[in-house]
Amino acid sequence: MRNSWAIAKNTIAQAVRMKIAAAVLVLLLILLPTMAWMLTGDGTLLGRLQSFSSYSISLVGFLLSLLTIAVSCYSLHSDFRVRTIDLVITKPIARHQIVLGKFWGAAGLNLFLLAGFSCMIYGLTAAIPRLSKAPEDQIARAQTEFFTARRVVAPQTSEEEIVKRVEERIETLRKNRQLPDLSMEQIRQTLLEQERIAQKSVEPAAAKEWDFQTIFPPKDPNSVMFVRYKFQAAPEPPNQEIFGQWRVGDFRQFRTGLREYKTPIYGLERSEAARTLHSFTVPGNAAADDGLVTVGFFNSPERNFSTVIFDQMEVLYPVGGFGVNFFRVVLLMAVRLIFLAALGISLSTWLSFPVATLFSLMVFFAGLINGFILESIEGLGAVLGMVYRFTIRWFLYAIPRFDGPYSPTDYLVSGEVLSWTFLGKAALITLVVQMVLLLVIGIWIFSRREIAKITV
Amino acid sequence: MDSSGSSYAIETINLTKIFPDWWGRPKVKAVVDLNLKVRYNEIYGFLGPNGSGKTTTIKMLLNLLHPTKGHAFVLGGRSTDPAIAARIGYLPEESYLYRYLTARETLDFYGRIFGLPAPVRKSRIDTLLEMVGLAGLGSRRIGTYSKGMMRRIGLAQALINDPDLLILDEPTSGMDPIGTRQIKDLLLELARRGKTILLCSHLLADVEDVCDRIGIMYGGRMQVEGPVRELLQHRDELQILTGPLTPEAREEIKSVIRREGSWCKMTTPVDKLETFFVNIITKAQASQPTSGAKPGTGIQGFLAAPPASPSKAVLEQLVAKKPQPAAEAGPAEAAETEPTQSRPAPKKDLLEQLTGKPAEPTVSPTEAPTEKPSEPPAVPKLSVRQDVLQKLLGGRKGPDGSTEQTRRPESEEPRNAE
Ligand SMILES: Nc1ncnc2c1ncn2[C@@H]1O[C@H](COP(=O)(O)OP(=O)(O)OP(=O)(O)O)[C@@H](O)[C@H]1O
Ligand SMILES: [Mg+2]
Repeated sequence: MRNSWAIAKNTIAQAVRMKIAAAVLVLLLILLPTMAWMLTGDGTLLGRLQSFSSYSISLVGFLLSLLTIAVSCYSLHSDFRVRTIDLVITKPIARHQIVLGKFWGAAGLNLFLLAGFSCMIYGLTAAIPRLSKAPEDQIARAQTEFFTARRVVAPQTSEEEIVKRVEERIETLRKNRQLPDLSMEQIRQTLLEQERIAQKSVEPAAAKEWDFQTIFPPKDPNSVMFVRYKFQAAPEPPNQEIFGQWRVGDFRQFRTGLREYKTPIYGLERSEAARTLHSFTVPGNAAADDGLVTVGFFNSPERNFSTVIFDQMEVLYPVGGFGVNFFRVVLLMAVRLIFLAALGISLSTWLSFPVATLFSLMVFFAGLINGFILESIEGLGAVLGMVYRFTIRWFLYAIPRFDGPYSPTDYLVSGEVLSWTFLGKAALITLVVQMVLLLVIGIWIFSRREIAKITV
Repeated sequence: MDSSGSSYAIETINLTKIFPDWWGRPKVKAVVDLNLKVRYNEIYGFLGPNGSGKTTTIKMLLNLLHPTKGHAFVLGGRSTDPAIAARIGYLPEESYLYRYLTARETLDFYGRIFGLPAPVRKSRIDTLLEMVGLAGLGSRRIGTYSKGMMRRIGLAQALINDPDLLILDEPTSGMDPIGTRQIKDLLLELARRGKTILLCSHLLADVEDVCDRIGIMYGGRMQVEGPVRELLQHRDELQILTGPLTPEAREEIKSVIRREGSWCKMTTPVDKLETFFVNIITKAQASQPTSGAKPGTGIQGFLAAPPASPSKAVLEQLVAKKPQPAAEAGPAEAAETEPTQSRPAPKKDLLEQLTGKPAEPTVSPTEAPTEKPSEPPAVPKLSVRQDVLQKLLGGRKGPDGSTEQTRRPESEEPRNAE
């Protein structure tokens, strides 16, 4: 343990002399304050905060990932190249302690930098509202939508119901001998698509309700919750806008026939463009005590002629503060860096610096678009799909994901909570399973390697 | 220090290393069936021309290379065992040191790996830097060091753990003559303290000066092995050293020898270049600063002079300087002759700090060491006047009639003493 620490310290001493380390450091020290000053987003305080947090976290994450890869791939390689390893190996230190020492050095340095730059981003973010001298209402909006941690709840999907309805329709078609001349699989697929779109669509003069469970906004009179959604309109409305009448609250109260409602049901009208993300605020007391909230949308035929198809529909409510959430976001980033350090060290036990770096970068970039590739592979044709399924797919499953819910930036930009549960799960898979596996492989290889062997 | 089952500090059994080429076919037979045996507390000179397999053998001893066949044991075990590795000091062929670390950081780094506590590290680093003559340069990056300075710090690194077994691969390559001399003195002193040393060198004079036994490798095989003196001694020749003589006296001596039916040759002794160089530098050192390694501080400072104990002072008065024979003369004596005034002040405590053991007085008036005879670790070598010493020591004699007071009694005696 103590001699691992000596190795780690030496690895850091070596890393800080690498040009890339200086470049990353200087670049970030210059860019972060500049970004806080220059990035204005859509001009509002919220937009400014969102664009700064998004770009700064992405930049720090990206550059530190590159630095981690460079440092971890370089350290052992350089020891082999200048043969310093020959001397270290003869000392009373086990091979695994050398590998672990290198790993701790590479990871430690980058975590230290991450901590430093995170503090800087946090400080700058906190300073932006004061520096920008924004009006009161914008500050209030930033408070509820940015300096918060909101839980995102999707409506209860009724996939079973969709499947049930599809089966019913197939049954009816069969009875009427109207089944098209296609394979059963294709028919089912087409009908499912249709049914799913039908589930999301609201025709003119029709209304739709979405039920949300487990909505528990804080019990204070100022608490708010948010309805966030995105839709398309078909056909395109002439002014590109859809007029909608909304109701939010516990709709079960309509059916009781009581005059006095226990929780209020709010109504509002909005006219909004298609294909953009919108959200509106509703007082927190709209949620029932058992956590149920229903959102209703009425496609008013007086103003619209289009069918409205909702691609996204969510309810958000605050569950925690910005600071803790920011901390968790940084931890998620740390998980990524630790993994990359293990990857680089493990690869450099048997690959040269350029090859190990290349491979690490491949894993890193694949991780950044992992979810996207996986999705597109699923959509591939049968033959091609088979090929991919047995090659790249395994690779993609084996490496961690850095995109989608594993991307730290989105949480801050939209003020969404990154739950401890999710963070723990990500850390468990990435660190305990993937990282340990990598280190064990690296140590195994390194322990068997003939250190002074020269390959020319 | 022989804590293990094996009676050898280094033992190889049919050790073989064959380097394959890229296709895996055997290409270079670097070491073939080597059975090397180095006893505890011995300085073993491992010789051989370039490419004869010395370094390869050492690397196999240290598990840097895996033997194709055979086994290598050090200190009765494998060097992969941390408990054994902790007792080894290794100076590689080239300076495999981190160039971006300072000398002090380098020693600290290795000290940490050995798990030495901070205060021990600190005091040992100071001592070692002093010893290898880099005391003022401890905060300079190793990358900026000259080759010899790097060698010196490499040696310091090998000593940081106060090793029982020291493996030195060409320690004197690139070293100035004074450094070379210091290393030789150091090796003798370490051996006196019970360490075992495997010394690989091309400077035969150095090997001859310090080694008890040598082995000569060629083509990966051991060609000859044995005690240095035995291998080098001309048993059928005799050398006599005298003070100035008149031509008549010389003629008389020659005629006596001719009467005996033998041959004879008379020359005046000449200083070796090494001795000459050491003298010049010692003088210059007094008047001029240097940005390089400082000769004369460490090892020499400590080892050159006997401790300033009363008994020693007496002894100093009793010894007489021995003149230097000519080039044809025995090499051992020649290398070690030097005027007395070139000796710097005694610094006995340096090595003591390092090893944590007090240095025994070289010659004690009450007790003559017999088990491990020690010679005064003095440069120059002083020949002790046997008659006075015998009185002092109470006339204790060795089997050959001479007083056992040196590590190698034969080096003190004229050749062919019999
Ligand atoms: N890693 C290696 N791969 C292939 N051949 C090697 C390797 N190391 C050494 N050799 C070969 O093994 C032989 C012995 O080399 P070694 O370094 O042991 O010699 P040496 O006795 O130390 O020589 P020197 O006095 O020059 O240091 C040489 O022919 C050398 O070319
Ligand atoms: Mg060699």
